Amino acid sequence: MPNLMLKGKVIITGAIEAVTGLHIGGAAAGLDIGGIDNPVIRHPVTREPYIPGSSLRGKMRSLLDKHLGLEANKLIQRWKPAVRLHECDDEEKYLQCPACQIFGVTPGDQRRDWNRLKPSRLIVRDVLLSQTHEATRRLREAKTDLPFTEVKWEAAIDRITAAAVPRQNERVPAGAVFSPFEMVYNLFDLNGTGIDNDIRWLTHLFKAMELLEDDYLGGYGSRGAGKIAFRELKVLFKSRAYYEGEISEPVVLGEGNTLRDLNVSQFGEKIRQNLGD
Amino acid sequence: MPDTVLYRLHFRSPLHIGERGVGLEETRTSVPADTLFSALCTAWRWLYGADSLQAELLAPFADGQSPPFLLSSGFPFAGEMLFFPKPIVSLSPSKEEYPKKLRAVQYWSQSVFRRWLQGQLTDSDYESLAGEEEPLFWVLEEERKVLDPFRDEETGSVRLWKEHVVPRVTLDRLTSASQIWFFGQVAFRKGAGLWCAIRYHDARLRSRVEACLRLLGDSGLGGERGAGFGLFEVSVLEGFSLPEVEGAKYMVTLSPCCPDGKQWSALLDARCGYDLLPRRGWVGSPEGGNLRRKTVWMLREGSVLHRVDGTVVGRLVNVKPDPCPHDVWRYGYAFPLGVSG
Ligand SMILES: [Zn+2]
Repeated sequence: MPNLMLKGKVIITGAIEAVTGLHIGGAAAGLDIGGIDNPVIRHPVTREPYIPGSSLRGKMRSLLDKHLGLEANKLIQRWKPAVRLHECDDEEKYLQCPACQIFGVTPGDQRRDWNRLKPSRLIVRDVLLSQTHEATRRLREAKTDLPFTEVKWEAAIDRITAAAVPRQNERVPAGAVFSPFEMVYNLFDLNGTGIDNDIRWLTHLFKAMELLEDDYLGGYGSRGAGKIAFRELKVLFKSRAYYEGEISEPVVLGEGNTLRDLNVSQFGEKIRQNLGD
Repeated sequence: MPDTVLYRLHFRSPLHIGERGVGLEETRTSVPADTLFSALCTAWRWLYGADSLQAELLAPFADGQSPPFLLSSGFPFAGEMLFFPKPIVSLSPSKEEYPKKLRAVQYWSQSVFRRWLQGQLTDSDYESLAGEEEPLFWVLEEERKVLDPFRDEETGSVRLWKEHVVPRVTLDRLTSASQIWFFGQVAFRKGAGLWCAIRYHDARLRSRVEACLRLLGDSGLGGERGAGFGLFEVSVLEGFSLPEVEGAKYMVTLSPCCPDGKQWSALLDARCGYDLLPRRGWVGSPEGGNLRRKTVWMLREGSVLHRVDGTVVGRLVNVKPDPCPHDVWRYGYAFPLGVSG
């Protein structure tokens, strides 16, 4: 049996600001009809828009794939827009592939006999609309069409008749703040091989966050929607010694209001100093 | 006397305890000890490795007579007030059946529970229930003040959590078919949460068990952990000892338990009472994923049993499904508190 041990967790927290209007579709669910053609996804309890962790995670992964020039060999969504991802098929390549290491691979047939397969390092939690932020209060008071969102009319061109067909799009307005956001990056040791690579790949995770800021989240990105910014960032390291109560506070790896304020290149050294074993 | 330590779990996100399935879910507002134990095993494996889990944690439990610690289920607390499961039978000669008012009650306050254990519940105690509509908690008159911050402004009844049944959609990655399923979620109010007790027979395990609890707080307990459910902070509850009657003939269990065939006959007499609880679910290991584990029936928390001195009631139950390559253990030890009767 493979011996997999957790050496620590890197916890990234902060807020996500919608720099432009944000549309993360809830259409697939079919639960939020209410007359809108393209509703945004809403939290089932609060009815407020939120960002599903899976959307954040999936987008960061595909951007990192492209950035690293990895082949998108796996189709994970057939309907439009088709979503293709990269997943290594070769164990030696996998061991050196930041994207597959951070985000994981599905243990399909050809990977069943890999004995150096680690679980995905990253957990991304759902991000709710901030309950404390000034921006939420303004949104609550603003007379938007639907709670916390605006409806934009757009003309779609019918491909056969060339007639303009009006369509509605629901968006979370620019300025909305989603918080707290939380990502957890686990540092795993497999059969005593150490965590040097897991520490090294952490920088790629921050690269993926940067790529996301330069791209867009959700739909209609080509029309300017979905630009986001990470804010109020705090990166903590919790070692085994922390969980055992030998260290009372987690180590702060970095803090800042933007990604640029974090000194990511020094995280590795700080983690090594504070492993506690 | 073994060292019993009480822990409070302060949830910072909603909690889902139950099984995923089709249709509406029963929402649990407590966490059964076997669920907690499995979560502890997972955390143990992450922190100390699979070999240590087997040798240092599971093996001593599996031998049956010397479990290194006993674990209670997690029950609600509100501030300093702890709640206990309603005992299945009254054991009182004067009140063989509970009054009607008590039917909806699920939890008893620590004072009510202590009096019951000592056989001192009086008719006037029962009357303290009179004013409330279908109360979920039974608290004594003098305890009511403590719960004032937890009362619903409109109805005046104690509300420690909000329950919702929420839909979630899973998209099949290959066929793109969507499947809607429902689950119950419980969001505790600030200052409320779940407490559990651990009675350490082997005190050397305590620091590692507590490390596992803290790690679980950051990983999540129950369902939908990947989306951030079930996160909590742990605190040790100082200065509270569990009520217990020494040398009593009966006991009440604070955990679901699964006695083996040999124990059964000694555990029951005409005054005992129990509820059966099916424990099912999925195998949680990387090697045995996607297999439904064998269902095992346990005696629910609050079951009242005959006490046999020197016997540990319950066991680890192997719920390994046939195709699974390894054993799958489910915690089924009683957490006994002596009760006079
Ligand atoms: Zn790869």
